[in-house]
Amino acid sequence: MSPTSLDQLLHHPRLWRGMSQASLADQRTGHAALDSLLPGRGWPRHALIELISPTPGIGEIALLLPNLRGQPQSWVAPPFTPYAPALAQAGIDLNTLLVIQPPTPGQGLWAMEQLLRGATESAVLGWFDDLPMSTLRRLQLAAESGATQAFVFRPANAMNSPSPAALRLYLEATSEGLYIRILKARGGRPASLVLPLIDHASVVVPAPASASARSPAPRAA
Amino acid sequence: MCLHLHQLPLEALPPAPPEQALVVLDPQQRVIRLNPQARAAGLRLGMSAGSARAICPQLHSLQRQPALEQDVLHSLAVWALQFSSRVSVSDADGLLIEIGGSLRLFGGLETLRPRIEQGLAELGYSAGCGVAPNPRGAEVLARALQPQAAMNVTQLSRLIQPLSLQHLAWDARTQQRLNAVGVSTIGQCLALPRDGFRRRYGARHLLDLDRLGGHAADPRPPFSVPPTFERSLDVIGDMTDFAYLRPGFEHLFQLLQAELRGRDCGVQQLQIEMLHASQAPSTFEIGLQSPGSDAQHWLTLLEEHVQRRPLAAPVRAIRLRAQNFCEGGRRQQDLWQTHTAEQRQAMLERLTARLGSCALYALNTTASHCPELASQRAEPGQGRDTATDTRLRPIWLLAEPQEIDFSQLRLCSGAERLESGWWVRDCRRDYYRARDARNRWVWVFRDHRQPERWYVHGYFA
Repeated sequence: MSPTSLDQLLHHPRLWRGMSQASLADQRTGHAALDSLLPGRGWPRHALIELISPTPGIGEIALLLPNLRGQPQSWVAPPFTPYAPALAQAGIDLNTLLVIQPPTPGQGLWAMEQLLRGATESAVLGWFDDLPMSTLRRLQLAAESGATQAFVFRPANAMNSPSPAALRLYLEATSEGLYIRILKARGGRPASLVLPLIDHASVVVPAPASASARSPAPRAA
Repeated sequence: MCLHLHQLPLEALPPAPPEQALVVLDPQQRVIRLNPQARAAGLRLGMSAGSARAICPQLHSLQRQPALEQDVLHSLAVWALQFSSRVSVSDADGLLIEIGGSLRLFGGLETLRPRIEQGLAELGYSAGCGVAPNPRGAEVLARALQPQAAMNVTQLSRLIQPLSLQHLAWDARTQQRLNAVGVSTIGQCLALPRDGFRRRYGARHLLDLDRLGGHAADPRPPFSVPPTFERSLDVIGDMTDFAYLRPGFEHLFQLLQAELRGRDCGVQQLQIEMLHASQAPSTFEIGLQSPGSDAQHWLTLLEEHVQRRPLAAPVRAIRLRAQNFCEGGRRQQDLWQTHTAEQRQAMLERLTARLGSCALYALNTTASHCPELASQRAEPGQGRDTATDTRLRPIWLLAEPQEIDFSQLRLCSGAERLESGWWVRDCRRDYYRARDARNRWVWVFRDHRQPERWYVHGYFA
């Protein structure tokens, strides 16, 4: 048997090897409340995961963070520039993080598909405004071929269009925390919950010595 | 061991389309080499070009190019260095490889010989292979296409006795004179009295016979390795489609790969030129993250480049250049393919080739109080976390701060004053964490000079 065919066999998603850490169970999300609502008690493996939100910046990265820490990952076409000090604080390995800002959305999709098929990343995150069904299907097939976690972020108007993704979540920020509605979960039921993700109130900030001298105190708290 | 590349004048030329009869002509317009299709059409060696065309009208004829043959021979000599540290070039079409010291390493002659022959065939060359205890004997056996190996002088003399004189590659006049006195084999030649032989045919030929028999020393200058690689191929017919150019590039890349393997090193930069008839050549640069010697990978990268920037005009010739060979090009093969770092690097190179180098970046932290300067772009794979900042920062930073009406904000933290030196960027701001009307956690500030205006600078995603 040639090394390539053996390699293909070993990378087959259905093959489980005792020596590796991989298990057939789904990957825990790191949020117990969310895990309990998902059919596999975690993010589904070998599948595309869609995260739909009306606007970026609501805590979507914090939701994924437990799975991103210290892993090789790529961010394809993020809506804003990721901020290195925050990523380092969050535990993301800057050495292996790759950000791709493609010249056209089509090339971004190509890059995402290649990354999913290449099986070199632990997770690939992609932000796309317009995803036709055929493209979603391609991404889903690419996600099935490897062990890479595939997250696609889409705007709110994608909520009503059909999708082959295994898991679709709708995210929205509320005053209590991140509101998550499970729109579709293969083998599960629609449900919703609120996760208090960013707990800023508990972080104590040392007040700068000259804070109040020239600037008035904040008017609201 | 000697490799005699009998078909070198033909094989050094660009490959012809299959099924096409092809002959190589010498300056006197005589057929000196022909391919099997031409032989099947009834052509023979020594014919004039005119009569050959009369027999086979679709004949494709090419002039012999000795300079090109030399180039090929030299690249093959470099390739042969992977089997032995001592390689020399013999005449215009032979390679001598000292394999005595390598037999143990490669597991004996039974393993090494097929390996060399197979490697040569993969590169597209055919050769007669002779094995003998001295270089001259190996040359003669290779020219005679003797498959049996001579392991000592006795075996060698037994093998060369019946061979025809022409395998010695002496000048035609000496051969004719020897034939005229009834000497037609090497054995008969060796039996002639030494004194008379020297008087009649010259001391040079006697020395040659002595070297063949192992009675005289036969030092050969070792092949010295040229420092760069440059090779071009002419394209038969003008090609606009990369699919037709692919085999040519594959051939060039394989030559380079063979050369690099011979030297046990790799390259990081490849220069590819496609020459057009009427305009300046289009140049492609392939850059690698780390030194490599993988022809297949280069071909993939080149394809991505061509996808991004299609060929502008028909291509006449292709050229491959590589310099600055550096050590460590060989990637170890692993049965379980567990080293993902190298696969990741190959993936990065593919993405860069297709999307351009500015589309991919990693991130670096820098010790700066100015938030815009604390995060810097870096080369992919070069991201470092150098500055340790424990204060809470947003994941998304806006390229340009957006002004926001204060009534939409609910501040949730005390102020954090950030100031940076006037020589870097005049920045003196009070930052707050707040929630906006859509309940997003935002990082807002107001500038010291305009305290009534509030700006959103980032989102805690």
